[in-house]
Amino acid sequence: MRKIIFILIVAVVFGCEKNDEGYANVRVELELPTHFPPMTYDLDNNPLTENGIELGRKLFYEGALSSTGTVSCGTCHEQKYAFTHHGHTFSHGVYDLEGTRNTPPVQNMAFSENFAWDGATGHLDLFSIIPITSEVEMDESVENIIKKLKNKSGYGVLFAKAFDDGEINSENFLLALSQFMVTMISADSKYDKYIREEVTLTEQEQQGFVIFEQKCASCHTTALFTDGSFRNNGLQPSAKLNDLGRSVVTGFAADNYKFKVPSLRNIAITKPYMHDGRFGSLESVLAFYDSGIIDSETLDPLLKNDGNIGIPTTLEERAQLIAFLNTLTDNTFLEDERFSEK
Amino acid sequence: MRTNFLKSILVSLSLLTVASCTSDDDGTMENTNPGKVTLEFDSEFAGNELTLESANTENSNGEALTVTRFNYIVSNIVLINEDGTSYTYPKEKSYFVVSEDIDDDLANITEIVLEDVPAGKYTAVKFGVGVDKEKYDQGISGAGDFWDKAGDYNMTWSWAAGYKYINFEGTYTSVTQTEETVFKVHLGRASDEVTNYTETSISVPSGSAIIVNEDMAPEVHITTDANGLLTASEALSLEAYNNAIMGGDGAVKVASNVSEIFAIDHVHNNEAGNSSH
Repeated sequence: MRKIIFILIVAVVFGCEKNDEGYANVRVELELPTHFPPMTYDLDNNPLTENGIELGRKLFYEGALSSTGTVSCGTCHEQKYAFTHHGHTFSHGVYDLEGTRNTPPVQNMAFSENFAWDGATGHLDLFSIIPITSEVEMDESVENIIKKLKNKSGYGVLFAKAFDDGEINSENFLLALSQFMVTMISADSKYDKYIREEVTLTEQEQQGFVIFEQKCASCHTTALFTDGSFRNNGLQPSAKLNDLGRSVVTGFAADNYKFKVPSLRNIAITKPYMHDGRFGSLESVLAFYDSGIIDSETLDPLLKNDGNIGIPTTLEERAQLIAFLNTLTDNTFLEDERFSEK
Repeated sequence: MRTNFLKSILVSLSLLTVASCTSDDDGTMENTNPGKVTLEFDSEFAGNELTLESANTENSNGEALTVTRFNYIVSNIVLINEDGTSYTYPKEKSYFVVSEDIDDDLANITEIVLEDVPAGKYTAVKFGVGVDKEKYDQGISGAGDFWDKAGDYNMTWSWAAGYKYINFEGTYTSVTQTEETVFKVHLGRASDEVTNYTETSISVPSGSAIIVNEDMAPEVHITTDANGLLTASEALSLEAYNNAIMGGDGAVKVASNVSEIFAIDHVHNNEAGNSSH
């Protein structure tokens, strides 16, 4: 009897109503980490539901999203490497074609204001269109994906369960992908536990944290470890690619060679580093900031101090910083079955 | 004398016609139920009708354009009443594509029909060109069908996942560019700070009004001067921009020209059931 009452209460709390298609679809309340900045994604426009998230997960791992039927989002975004393409300098798409940028992680997307290295879109819902339509990634159109999904068994019911109008269309397709990505929150690393006062940091990690606050945290701000801005960090542009970054999107020369400041969450397991994956280790990254920065018109002012360029660190400091960066690895996130292909 | 007499009869007859029209209009004003309004976009090029695939006279930048595509997004329509109040068309329905395109697969769209507009005498129309930040920030929800339609009309970018507010394409020649050279002018959002979305307000010719009620079917003829995109207040030479204006300061200048290319030429206050041009 007690059990029955409990179930009744749960049903009331979650407003377990049937949708237009006659399916029950349970609303999901997102648990937000208290030490994070406010979420940027507006859930009022796309309320999370169990079935919506589940459909999004299935679509994330669906090869039919590519023209060849073989490349899914999960191909380049592997969970155990914080949804990056481990060991690949550039993303690999259909026919093993190579892109020009390193696959960024998919984590904490609900807190991001711009997406992709150059901020090619300002909304998560629209983001998926970029890799889908890129000729060297999934080489497909949303329109054609919708046609394929309509012909694939199973999706009719999944869309009917997930959305009030139940339709397989581009809107619901993109909304479902967003729902899944919104839930992909990484906030349970050793660092997070330290902030929540559940664990203590080692001496070395603690010292690394202090140096981090002094030398890195003006760009890698907040618990997201990024301020989301676009900056030129002084990498020598590759002669072959000459990737102009942000200015490809905005068309302003003042944005030349600027890329989005990446989050450092799960950084220890997401090598290679930088927008073009040029560095194979965190040691190389820190050595670059110490003495490898190239001055240019758009070099970030924060990297110039009293005529000196760069962020100088001793070898000992680098070891301490890396020890701290290792505390940002979030195994709960990397192993969370809610995000797995199953 | 005889001619004068005839003339006076003609004048009186025409006065009668005018008078009867006026009384008709006054009569129909008594109907206070909402009606529909048609906005007809007549594309022009420097005062002439825009003829696709036909070379226009050199513009003020010394370039002669042949247009093959002139598509744009009209949004957030507001009708301004003669008493100064205004009616904002429901935002969720207020996004339209206007299209003049040589692509045979696309039906050109030159009309926007607004339904259920409150009865009244309106004297100005305000609208946006493009997609405002508020709408963009809603993502795909609500955009649903419009995203697809905009895509059909080449009004979306996939690599940058956003809307083209204006897609103006063709070829041009100039003294230095003697071969027909392909040009593209695509206006869109650069960033949250530089949205390039612009709004414009245009008034009916003096003495006229858009009379709206259930018995009327007014048609508002708006001219859109494609020439002005590159010449209105900011001069943009295509050659100076390497034949493509898709962002940066070029797009910002095009956006500032946008508000000057529209005008209401005339209004037909047709009775419902009839229509004229």
